[in-house]
Amino acid sequence: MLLKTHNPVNNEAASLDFKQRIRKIAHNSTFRMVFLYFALFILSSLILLSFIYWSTVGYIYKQLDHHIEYDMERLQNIYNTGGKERLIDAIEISLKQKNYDSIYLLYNKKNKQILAGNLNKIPYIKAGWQIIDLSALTDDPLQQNHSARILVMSLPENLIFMNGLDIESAHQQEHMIFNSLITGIAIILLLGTIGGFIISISTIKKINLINDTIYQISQGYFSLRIPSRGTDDDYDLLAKNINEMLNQIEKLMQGMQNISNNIAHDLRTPLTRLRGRLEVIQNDCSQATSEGIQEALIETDNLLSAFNAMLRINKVESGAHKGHFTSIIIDDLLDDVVAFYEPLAEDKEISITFEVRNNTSINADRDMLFQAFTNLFDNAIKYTPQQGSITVSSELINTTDSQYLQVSIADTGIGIPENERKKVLEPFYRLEKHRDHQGNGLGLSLVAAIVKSHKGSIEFLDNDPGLRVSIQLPI
Amino acid sequence: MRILLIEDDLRVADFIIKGLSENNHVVDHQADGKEGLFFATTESYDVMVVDRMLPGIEGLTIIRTIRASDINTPVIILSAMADVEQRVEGLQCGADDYLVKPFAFSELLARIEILGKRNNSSETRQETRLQLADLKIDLLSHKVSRDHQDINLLATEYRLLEYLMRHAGQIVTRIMLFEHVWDYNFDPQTNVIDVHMSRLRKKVDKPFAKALIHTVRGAGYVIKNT
Repeated sequence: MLLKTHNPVNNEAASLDFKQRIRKIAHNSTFRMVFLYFALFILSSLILLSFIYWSTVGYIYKQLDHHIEYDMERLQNIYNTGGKERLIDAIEISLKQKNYDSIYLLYNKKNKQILAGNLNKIPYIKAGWQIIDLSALTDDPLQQNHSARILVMSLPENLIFMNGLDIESAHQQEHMIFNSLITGIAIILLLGTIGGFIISISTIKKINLINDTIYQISQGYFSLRIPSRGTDDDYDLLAKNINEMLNQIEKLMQGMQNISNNIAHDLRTPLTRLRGRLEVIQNDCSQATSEGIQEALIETDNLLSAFNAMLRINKVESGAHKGHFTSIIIDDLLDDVVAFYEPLAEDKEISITFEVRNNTSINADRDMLFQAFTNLFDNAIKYTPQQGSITVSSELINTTDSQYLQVSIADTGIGIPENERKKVLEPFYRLEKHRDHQGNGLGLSLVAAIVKSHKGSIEFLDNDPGLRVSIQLPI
Repeated sequence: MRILLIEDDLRVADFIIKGLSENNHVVDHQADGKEGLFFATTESYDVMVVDRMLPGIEGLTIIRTIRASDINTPVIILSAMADVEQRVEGLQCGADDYLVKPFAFSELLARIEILGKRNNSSETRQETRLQLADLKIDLLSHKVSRDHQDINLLATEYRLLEYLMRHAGQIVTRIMLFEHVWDYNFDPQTNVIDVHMSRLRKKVDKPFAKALIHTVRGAGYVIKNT
């Protein structure tokens, strides 16, 4: 929470951040689902629109062919009944009706003589359906660059009759349909993209809200709940159910805490009796027995101190001490701690220096913080070899969004391997190489609980050699 | 001293009574809160030791009641309720000391004797000097001398010695020293206090023929002229 990087915002960092955000969104399953759905949607609209396109355009050309076939049949009938001259007349009449689209050509294939029609030249054609380019065949400027759909038929007397239609308007219709379908696809694409983003972002937002809350809860803020938006939709229901589950978990945790509290409390009474009885026996027995009993008393006391530490961790974690927060100057407290440990350090020829100081006061529980620092100093002195050194510093750190106090205690001892730095904060965890030292493995857990109750954070760093414990406390 | 013990756990009460009797104290024991309150208000004692959770009337209520009826006998609360809050609550309702169960008997004894002594001596008298054999402390100038030689003590050492001298002849425990000399409230669970004491003894006792500060095994320290 306090460990946010505090680089000044520069463009490179910002663009990196943006890239990361994009990557994050792309990894988001909601986004992926929306994207997949979107792709499927586009594909199906493409298929649908292609179908519409092909059937419409096909229909247009089929209509043309029908028209040509019909006209051909009419003129063929005229030829069958009236011969060549009647056919030529009929062609002339049809052309005079100013049907610009119609293309006619009647010629003699022996002497290549054009008998009727509106083309100037005889194209290279064969019998049946085909498409020809009109450019070279006509003088009509309106038909330049046009194509025509034609039906060619051989008639008796070496005649070739060609009947067709200029298909430019059909082409134009086809273009129009094609363009409007493309526009349609573009609109669908655009709307789909916008819609997809809106849906995925609103979903991602809802999920992120749930995710963020759960993350914070997992960081120890058990009283947090996912806010309900009051919409009664699936996400609201999900939030409600998760909250219900959290309530259950909290209840269970409280139960656990109560049980462990009760166990510890209930064990105190028999331990009180045990200790008392041992002391009574010790008073009237031989010297040898007395020494044995003294050892038993020490064991009892160790057991008791483990119980007390557990109870204290529980208590600190439950946050019941909040009433004892007062404004204290952290350096005064650190001075007390240093003075408290000075003789012990001197005996081991360890030097303690208080390097960086500041006069900031923070709101804290004096006894608890003293205890936390005592535990850290105990460790520092225990694990630092003769003639080593311990350096204490307290610095006021200002960042753009927060201000906190960083207290660090650095020693030149054996340190903690990197992979174990998190684990040492767990209750009863002890480093293998520390097993021969006395202790119950609760000291650092208590420190962690105390730091957490002050809304601070603790970190173990390499002092190369040694350990640097860095504690951040909000002001 | 005449001591009233109100404690419902008979086995705990047993060894307290036994221990106190061995140290020449007279103990009245009551297991019930009502009975205890009756004895506390009708008889006269030097020190009372009161448990918190009692049948009949609760320990804190007993203390409030006797304080309300102007009985100023020193009271030690003896309880398994160990939180700082509970401790503060106990002291606020009129108790003079608070000892958490389980406890070392020597700790209880040391505290009872110090409280009993305080009540006997005229508390209000402001002393300016303390003396034990040839060891002298000037409470105003913080000067310490022994056998007419000045002894230079560090601040912590001086406070330790002053506390010991104020309770000369009485056992003071490590927890008591920690609470009064360092003014922090928790059981430090370290041997650091012993290290401080050994430095003090190096300065106060070592150069001289006779040692005044003594270690009491399993209990703490005492300064006395034997």
